[in-house]
Amino acid sequence: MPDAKRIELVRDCIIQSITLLNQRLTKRVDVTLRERAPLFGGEGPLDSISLVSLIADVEEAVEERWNVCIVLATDRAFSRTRSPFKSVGELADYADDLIEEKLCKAKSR
Amino acid sequence: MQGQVALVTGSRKGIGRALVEHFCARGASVIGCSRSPVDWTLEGYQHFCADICDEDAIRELMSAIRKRHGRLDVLVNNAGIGGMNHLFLTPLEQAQRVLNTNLLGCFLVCREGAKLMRKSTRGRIVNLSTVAVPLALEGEAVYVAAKAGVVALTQVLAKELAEFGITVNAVGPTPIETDLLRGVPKEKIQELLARQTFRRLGTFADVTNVVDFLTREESGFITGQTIYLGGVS
Repeated sequence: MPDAKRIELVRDCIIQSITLLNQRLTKRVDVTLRERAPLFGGEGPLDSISLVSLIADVEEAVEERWNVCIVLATDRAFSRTRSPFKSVGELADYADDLIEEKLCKAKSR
Repeated sequence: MQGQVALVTGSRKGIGRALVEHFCARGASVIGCSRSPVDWTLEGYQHFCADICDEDAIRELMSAIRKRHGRLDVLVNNAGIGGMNHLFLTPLEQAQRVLNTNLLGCFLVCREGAKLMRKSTRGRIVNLSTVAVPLALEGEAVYVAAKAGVVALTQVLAKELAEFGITVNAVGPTPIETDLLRGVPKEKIQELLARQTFRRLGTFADVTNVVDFLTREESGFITGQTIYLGGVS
């Protein structure tokens, strides 16, 4: 079950990671758009190198906050009709799904 | 290497253990992993039981390194398994094991290690290949294919990780007296040595010397290279 409060926290983690990343970018992500901020592909300002940096930063932020190790670059991510890397909102929803899976797996151990 | 953090896979014995001892002697904090625990200890060394083909285990290993040290400076992908048979005598399961451990395991540790290495100002990755690649050694088709894959992986990752200041190189040792060689017939080893410029078995020191060179701060302008030992090219 999606946890609305957690999704909001995941979104905050992503925005914090982007804010740090933005300092090194010439084409920056407009974080004022919050979940609607485009990331990669289409109108997204990130190039592939910036995207991989963001992925690693978000994985690390999730690990620090929820103590679970997620991998964002999965088959599922790349086979979706709508890429989870398209916007902050899509990435937050996707990361939250992975966190939920990991937490459930940890509980069932 | 005082203050540096190094990870060596396949550290329980052989080349891996020799590298751990070398890095510890140079003052690094060294982390190692293997599928089984070690029956030895060394100051400055911490061991983890992890299969390099297990994504969750590798993520957890990197997480533990990050929590304890905050970064990773040196990664040596040494873990590997042999598989020596004629093509007709190679079971698919063996081929898959050899490819998984020697190539995909290396890929996985590179991927997760490099994420952590972004925090170092001078990340160094060294992948272990073998002289069996340039020698196109018969009887080791899948092993050679996997290790040739390691060379190709090294070249591509060198380009992809240059952005983060990380160098990626490979070392191709000659046969060394290790467990990997125990099952190989003596005449086969003699045949192989005859194809080297220096016709002797390698030593751990031969390998640690070149890995040491590639992981030094001064080697920051060397990337995407494979150094074969014994004069093989």
